[in-house]
Amino acid sequence: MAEEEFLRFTVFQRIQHILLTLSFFVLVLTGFPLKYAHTSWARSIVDVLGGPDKRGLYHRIAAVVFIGTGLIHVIYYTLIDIGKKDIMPKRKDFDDAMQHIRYNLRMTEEMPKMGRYTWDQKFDYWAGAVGSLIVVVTGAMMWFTFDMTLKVLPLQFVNYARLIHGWEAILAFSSVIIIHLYAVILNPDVFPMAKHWITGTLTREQMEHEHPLELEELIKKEET
Amino acid sequence: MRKTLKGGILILLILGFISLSHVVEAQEVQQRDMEKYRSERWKSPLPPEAKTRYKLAYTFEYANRTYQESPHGKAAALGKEGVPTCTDCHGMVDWMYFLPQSNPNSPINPKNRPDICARDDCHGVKLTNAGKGSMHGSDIYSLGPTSVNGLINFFYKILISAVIGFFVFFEILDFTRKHGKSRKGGV
Repeated sequence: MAEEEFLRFTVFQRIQHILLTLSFFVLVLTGFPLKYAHTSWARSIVDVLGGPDKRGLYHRIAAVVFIGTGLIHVIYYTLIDIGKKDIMPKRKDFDDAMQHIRYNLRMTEEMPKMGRYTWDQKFDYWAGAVGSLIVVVTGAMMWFTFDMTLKVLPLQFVNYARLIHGWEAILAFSSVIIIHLYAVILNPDVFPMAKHWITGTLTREQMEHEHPLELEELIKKEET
Repeated sequence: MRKTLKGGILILLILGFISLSHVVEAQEVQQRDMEKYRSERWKSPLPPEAKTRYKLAYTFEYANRTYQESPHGKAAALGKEGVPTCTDCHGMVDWMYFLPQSNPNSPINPKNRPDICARDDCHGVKLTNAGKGSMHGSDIYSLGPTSVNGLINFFYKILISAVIGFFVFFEILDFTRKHGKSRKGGV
């Protein structure tokens, strides 16, 4: 008999994730060569992409996909799917994080019982949201320098935008890699790769271990 | 139990302190290098004519370095055609006639610069704000701790060290805790 599966991510959510992933990597690939324009690898990448104009074009296309996905996400979850949001940060998340660290330091034998989203997932989500907002605003300031930014702000602000956009990209890229590399690949529980980002489901055992409170709720719902 | 907690906190503090001092040190070294680059040659005990020549060489070297970090310099480095280089904006065909920005006759004087940017084959729009700020990659070179650029750099270095440091620390602990009693599942 097949193992009992619980749907965690709908097709719509998985498509959003894949669109973000693809656009994010195109943005990284087409963005860093400009930040490090004087390196040979930057020049090689730009040559492969078909020149500096194409690099800029692809970066902007990917930006539109990235922003579009973000907008659809925000609109859907604020206007269409109205209701309780499990992703909202709570005091319990901080306590869970502390207990999780204590558990990993072997100071307690009790893993914190977490719900639909764990403290680190919430952190990724909200840090990502704030970071995205910053790159989108600073990116738009550079994209529309003469059409918009310089009409209201002095040139110096375009320089600040360039600086912040670059730093934010380093922060986003490094944390996305560090967090996903462990959570989806290196984590001994999921090695060689967690599949829920494709299938959208977790098994009962996984739910019991990672999201016990959500499992309890789901069972309660089923019973009623 | 308490001892382990204290030990953990101590390790965290030490790690935090190391990364912080590293960041601050890197920042200071960069600043010191620039200061050195800016002033040392100027103060060197040279005869006045040589000093003038040195100053000229320094000025162009510095201008070139900062230009390379500007959007124009980067576009040129990546092979974009029609990107403005020195004389396109500074306006002179003879190096001798380069004027300081403060000179009202200089094409890059804040009052004249909007016209320079607005040329037909360039940006085509005349905006006063185009004259307010540095075009030469000032984000890298104005690193004073109280400058906005310096603060942005400092803020992000701390933030990135903290986020990456914390997650690497957490993941190593998580890995060692789980290692050996692996269980299929997760996330």
